Amino acid sequence: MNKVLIVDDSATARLFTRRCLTVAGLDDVEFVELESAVLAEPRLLDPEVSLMIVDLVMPKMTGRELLERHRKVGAKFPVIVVSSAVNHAEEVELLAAGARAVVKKPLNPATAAAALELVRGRP
Amino acid sequence: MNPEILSRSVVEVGEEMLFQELVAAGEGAPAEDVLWAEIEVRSPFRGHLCVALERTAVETLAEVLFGGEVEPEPTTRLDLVAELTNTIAGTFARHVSDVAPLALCPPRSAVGAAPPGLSWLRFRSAEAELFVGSRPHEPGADRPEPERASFRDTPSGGVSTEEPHF
Repeated sequence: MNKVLIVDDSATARLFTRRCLTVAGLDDVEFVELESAVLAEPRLLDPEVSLMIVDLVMPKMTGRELLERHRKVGAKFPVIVVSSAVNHAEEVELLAAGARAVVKKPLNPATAAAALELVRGRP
Repeated sequence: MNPEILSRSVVEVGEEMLFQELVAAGEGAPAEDVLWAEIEVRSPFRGHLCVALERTAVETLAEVLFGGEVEPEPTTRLDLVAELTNTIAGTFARHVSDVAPLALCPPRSAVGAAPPGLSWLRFRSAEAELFVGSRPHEPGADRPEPERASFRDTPSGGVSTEEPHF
């Protein structure tokens, strides 16, 4: 993997996510932290991006809207949704919308590792 | 709002996010000078949740979470409280319903006296004390359409406004 986008409007959440992913074994990548989905959208076709972690509840553009753009422009890299605002029904919807994995906040290294395995197991 | 489910959610988030063994300590409102964040939940129920901590408690939790990696600026501390509130609200909403859509608004946060009209629960760990307030939605009291602003960048003491997102 090359660049991993972490899209969350909370600096605390971005730090937490980066740490969990690193502990989960993702230590050979460049993390790019973005505080909004609006900033992430231009990077959807960046060939150096290999994974995107995205929150759902964000101002201006939600994570769900970013997921829709990801599908619409034909972005190739997988998306993991990490959000407090997910339950079983939301998870089913998000997976149908193109998310490769859906993880509830607070993220921890074990759930991060499980999500990464899911991503790596379904190229 | 069911206080038992709310307490369970707070304890769960305390353990998983803050690495703190929080214990419910009954009812009790926070002091006047706290860092607080409030979030509006629109589904599966309608209401407001607020989390308030004293400065020393936030310092302790920031040290646990950031471990010196991030300079604890006032905005960083407020961001921590806002993210904690967001996570507690999401966990609570999920425990209320696993099948209904979840709709949370971005939190607003500030330093000073917490918003009035909340019913408060107090939680304690060995290192920190945390207050969680709640109130049901008041019909006709929807937030007015606000100007866009980034609440995460709200300077200490300011109250930001945000447009609801789902």
